[in-house]
Amino acid sequence: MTALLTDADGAGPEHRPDAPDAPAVELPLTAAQSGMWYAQSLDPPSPAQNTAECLEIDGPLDPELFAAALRRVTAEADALRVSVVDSPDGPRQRVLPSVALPLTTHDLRDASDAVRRAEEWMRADLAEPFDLTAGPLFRHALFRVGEERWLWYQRIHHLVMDGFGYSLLVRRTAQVYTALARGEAPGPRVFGTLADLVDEDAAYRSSEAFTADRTHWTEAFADRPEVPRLAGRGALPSRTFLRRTAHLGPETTEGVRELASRLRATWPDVLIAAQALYTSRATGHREVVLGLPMMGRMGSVSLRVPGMVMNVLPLRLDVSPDATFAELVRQVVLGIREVRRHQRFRYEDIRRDLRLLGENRGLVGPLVNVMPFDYAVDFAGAPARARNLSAGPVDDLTVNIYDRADGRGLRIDHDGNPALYADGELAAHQERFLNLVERLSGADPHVPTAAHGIATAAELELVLGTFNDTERALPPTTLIGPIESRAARTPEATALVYGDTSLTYEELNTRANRLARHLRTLGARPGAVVAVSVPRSVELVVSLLAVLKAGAAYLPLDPDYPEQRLAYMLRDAAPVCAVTDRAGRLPEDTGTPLVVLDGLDVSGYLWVNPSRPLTPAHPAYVIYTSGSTGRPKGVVVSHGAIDNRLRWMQSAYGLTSDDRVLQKTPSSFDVSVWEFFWPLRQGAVLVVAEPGGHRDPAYLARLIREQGVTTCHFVPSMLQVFLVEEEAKACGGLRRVFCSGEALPRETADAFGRELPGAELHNLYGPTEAAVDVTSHACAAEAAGPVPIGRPVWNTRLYVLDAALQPCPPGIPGELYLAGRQLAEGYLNRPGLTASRFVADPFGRPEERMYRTGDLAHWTAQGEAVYLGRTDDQVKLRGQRIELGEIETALTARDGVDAACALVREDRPGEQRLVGYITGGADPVAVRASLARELPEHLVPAAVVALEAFPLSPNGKLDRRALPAPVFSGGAGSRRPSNAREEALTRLFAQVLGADRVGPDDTFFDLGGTSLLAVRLVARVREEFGAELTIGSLFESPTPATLAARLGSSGPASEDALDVVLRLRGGDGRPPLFAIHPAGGIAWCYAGLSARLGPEQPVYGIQARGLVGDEALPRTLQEEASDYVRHIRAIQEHGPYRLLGWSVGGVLAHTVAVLLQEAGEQVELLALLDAFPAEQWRERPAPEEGDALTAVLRMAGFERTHERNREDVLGTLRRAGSPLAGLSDRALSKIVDIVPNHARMMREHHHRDYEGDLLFFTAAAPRAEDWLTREAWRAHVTGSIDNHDLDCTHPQLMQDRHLDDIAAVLAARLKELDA
Amino acid sequence: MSAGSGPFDPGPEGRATHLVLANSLGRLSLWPVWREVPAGWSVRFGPAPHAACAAALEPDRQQD
Repeated sequence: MTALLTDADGAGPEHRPDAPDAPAVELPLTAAQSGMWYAQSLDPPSPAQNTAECLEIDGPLDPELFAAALRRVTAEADALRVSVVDSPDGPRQRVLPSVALPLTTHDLRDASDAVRRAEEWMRADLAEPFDLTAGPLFRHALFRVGEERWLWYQRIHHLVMDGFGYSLLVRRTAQVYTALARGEAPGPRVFGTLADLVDEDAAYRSSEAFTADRTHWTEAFADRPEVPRLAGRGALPSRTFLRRTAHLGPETTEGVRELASRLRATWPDVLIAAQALYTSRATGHREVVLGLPMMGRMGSVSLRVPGMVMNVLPLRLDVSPDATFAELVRQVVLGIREVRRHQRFRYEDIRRDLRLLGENRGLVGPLVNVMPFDYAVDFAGAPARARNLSAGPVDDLTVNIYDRADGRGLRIDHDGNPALYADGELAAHQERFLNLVERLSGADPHVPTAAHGIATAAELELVLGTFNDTERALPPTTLIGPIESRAARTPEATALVYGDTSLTYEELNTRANRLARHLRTLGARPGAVVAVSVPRSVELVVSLLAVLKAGAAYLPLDPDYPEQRLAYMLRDAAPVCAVTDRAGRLPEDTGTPLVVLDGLDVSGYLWVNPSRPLTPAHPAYVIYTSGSTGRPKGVVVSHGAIDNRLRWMQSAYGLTSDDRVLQKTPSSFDVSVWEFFWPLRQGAVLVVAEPGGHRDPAYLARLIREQGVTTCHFVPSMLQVFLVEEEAKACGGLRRVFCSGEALPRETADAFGRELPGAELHNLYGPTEAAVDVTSHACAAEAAGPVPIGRPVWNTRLYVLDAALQPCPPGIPGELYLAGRQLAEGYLNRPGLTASRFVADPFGRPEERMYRTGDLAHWTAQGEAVYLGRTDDQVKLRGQRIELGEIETALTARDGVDAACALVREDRPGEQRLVGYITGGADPVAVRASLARELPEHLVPAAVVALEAFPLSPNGKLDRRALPAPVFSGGAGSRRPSNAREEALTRLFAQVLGADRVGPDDTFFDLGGTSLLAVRLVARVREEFGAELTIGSLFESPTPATLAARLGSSGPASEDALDVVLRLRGGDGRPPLFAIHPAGGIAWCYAGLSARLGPEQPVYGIQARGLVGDEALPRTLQEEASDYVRHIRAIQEHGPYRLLGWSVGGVLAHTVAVLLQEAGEQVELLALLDAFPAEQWRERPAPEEGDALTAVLRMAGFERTHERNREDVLGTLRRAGSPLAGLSDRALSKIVDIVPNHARMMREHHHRDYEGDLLFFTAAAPRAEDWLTREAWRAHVTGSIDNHDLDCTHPQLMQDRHLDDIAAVLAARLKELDA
Repeated sequence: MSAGSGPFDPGPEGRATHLVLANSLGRLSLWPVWREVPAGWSVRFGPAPHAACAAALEPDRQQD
């Protein structure tokens, strides 16, 4: 910095012509000032509220006189002499009679880069905050940058000055200087006082006009519109702002002026309309709310006072692609006229009135600040040009437009909040805006604005051309052809593994060929549809191949879907036939011929590939997806489309014959298409997971490890769950994992990198309507931000289009459209729906179509697409596509439901649940239950909530945000947990579900449980109980009570669990199984068995009398058995009966069976578990108490070792966490009595004959009692003995491993009986 | 992009907002009346209200 010419200090009274020696005046802050004071107090060191201007003065200037002029103006302008103090009555502004003039003068004449150095100084000064309490709140600097060239810089705190105030100050300064320079008197003070301004403000705020203005604004914004912002979000203002300066070329400026006059508007109206159009398109909102800084000066007083009066007001505009630009400009003209009438009502007050403050919501989007102030000033003949340096804090984005009367046309500054905009983004917004203005100024304003996009020509080339450069010539093959060629080339290679089964390519091909030939006899051919409803298995793969080989398209029908859904799809698709694994799987009244694989002999058919007139244009499969009006719709995908997809996939990921690909996705979801067929085309091995296995991460981890799976797919939410699974780390053989179906969170991708560092993670995207996937992105380890869905695959184009179907530039969100070879043919039998989703493509070759996904996306600058959400009500829940409309239609169709709405809530982070809301008198629980009978599991809401009425927003629309979170609370009126295990489980249920209370009989899935929460619960149960538990067991035993029963050899430990009848699993579907207690009298040991028999089979335990209360023990087995017969008949009055017993229970079961038969009833099952008839024991000594203790231990699965007495036994049970340890001492003592009583009675018992067969299970390990033989039963049974040996001891029989085997045999027998 | 205001959504009641286009392959496309008709397509029906276009697309009057 060069020499200081003057260091101006305090202005002497002699320089202040009308300066009274008055004391400081204290005034309240105006409403306009209060907000700024508050903002500054929040962050005192922030320079954000600095405003600044620089005037370039060309000509001779006397710095001394200039300083004198400034002193005089400072003395005249109250606002400059203000400091602000906080007082008990709130902040007050103190107007000092005089302040020292903060002016520095710098002579930079000799510097070669004078202007640059001056600007540097200004920039540094602009970063200095003012101290509101100390003052002064302004500063001047005068730079001499040439012999006759000066820069006058002034910075003023926004709290005391606005843009109009600047113009008053500058004009007066020029006037005073000019007078002084000419030796004339400057003329009297022209400014009004600050007190005038404060008075005017107070008067307005108590006026009727104020009330009327308030009414105007609250009514105009009663619906509290969402405010579109270019950054897509809001942020607090930063301490600084970014600025890009540009000029509209003189030609364009002239064009804008001409257009304005043709439209009977002003040029600012045209630019505001252009900004509205830009904002609407760039944000995807038809309605925009721009912020208009308004002078706010309506009275003659304020027009004479330099100070802070300006206001920002919302201009609400409807920007529709079908309206013309002329119409939009007209809207602006009328809108501004209205805003102007109500411009004194403060922005802050509108926000408060609309309750936006509390929600921290904005009122306006971008600001358009037009400053047509007259700056045609001169300093004694030296002309000056003003340049704004800072217009105050920037909340979001402000477009400042200056028309200084300096002959240079319109200057446009884009100011951006750096918290929201990077430099490049701001520059792009500016460039596009100028470009749009240029095009608008030269175009016919009377055509719809849809003709204009916001992208520049270079951006158009990028997003339509460069990013979509995917063309690739491919042979005209089909989905099946390459598989047949592969089978011919590598017939001996393994094609498929399922459990213990494995098939070579030749075997698979042969089986599929034979079935295909059979299907052909039923009409399967190119163009026809064949339904396949087979659970995941070898047969499923064979069936799918067979359909394709016959030339037909396959229609997968999930065997788990409700019958009504299956019937609908069969009627809608009208397949020529339906392949199922067994009879009864599919509804039989739809007229579709069924091909039942069970028992079907196709060995007579030729084994070679059938010939068929199949072309790539023929359909390959039809997959149904959720439909918004309640009807699912079938998407028809051609061979050419899916063949393109698989050829791209092979080129991208190079599967080899070393690879093993996991097939776990249900066939009704299109991800399964590549799982099934990609490996078979490439000679890899297809590893087929068990049905239901796709939900169980522990099972999947095991399967992946054991089967050496290299390639598999996860829906991201399932991947997340999988990665926390202990065994996931051991899946080191995985080479590549594909994600699709829903947004892949970066955290999940990062977790994947940590857990499976050796594997690649690929994020794929695509709707069923475009052959599975159309984009791909390889996740990188160090990347941040949202994981892109990536670049288009071969022969595929992506368009991100705005509301006018014009391409969005990179970074701008729009709806994603897809075009190219992978598009589906359309929806089966739905021409209207097809024509509204598959529409004409304005960017491709003539006659092409594009598919409208309904997904929101934007391009990155590198040409990858990023998924942003949905444009409609479709949601993805755990990768499954759900049309909320379909659920709403289903809800509304129930009796007693007046209206319904459905949505996905995330009341706890990461836990998305589908919730339905209904009005009307219907019982929500019943409604949910009836939905579950009709809709697939993923479409059934986790909860249905009944409301008196739907909450409405002020404009009468449903206010979704006001819908209450469902209260997942069970336990109402239910019993209390009956033992420690149930207690613990109800607690775990409540924790995992986030429910207040859970009763032991509440069902997990009724309380909002989802399959992902199920995974978490199972993990917690494993942790807490150390028990091996599968996801499947939770589906089968979904209440704390049933789960408790399943968890161990026993369940409840309270007194009521010791009743004679213990319901292990209720239900009224099939005849129940009665399981009679062993020697100890307790039947809890059958809980594990009950759980394994599945939810359909009711099981009742029969327990000894005397465990509770003071009942006498029975004297004979006959007496005991008669008692049990009464209890059994109270549950099931008549046969056929199903009976089972372990140990003494077997002896009792036989006796009960005989009694029932003697009463004329039928017994259809008598199953004895290692039980031997009375006479085998008769000669052996009965046990004493010591033996009874052994028996108690055996009941818990232990062999007796060191335990000497009751205490020791109890200690062992407690240490092992056995539920028997929870028994009261009294009950335990009773057992010790019951055991010897049974020993005695058994020895005294005489069997009568049972008419029928015996199902027998032998604990085949060598035993001490080697004289026991099941053959002894032959004397008491008329039929045969069907024996099953188990490699275990008598007490081990009730342990999990052996229970699995027993249950399998039993289940098969029960199934036969059911049939 | 806010719901319900897309180029293929119904416009204000009674306004002729849409067209039905056809190409030589017999494919049909709904199309907003305010956007230039893409190459290779010609107007088969409309301008007409959305509902009328939808009905014209579905001779059996089934709509989704």
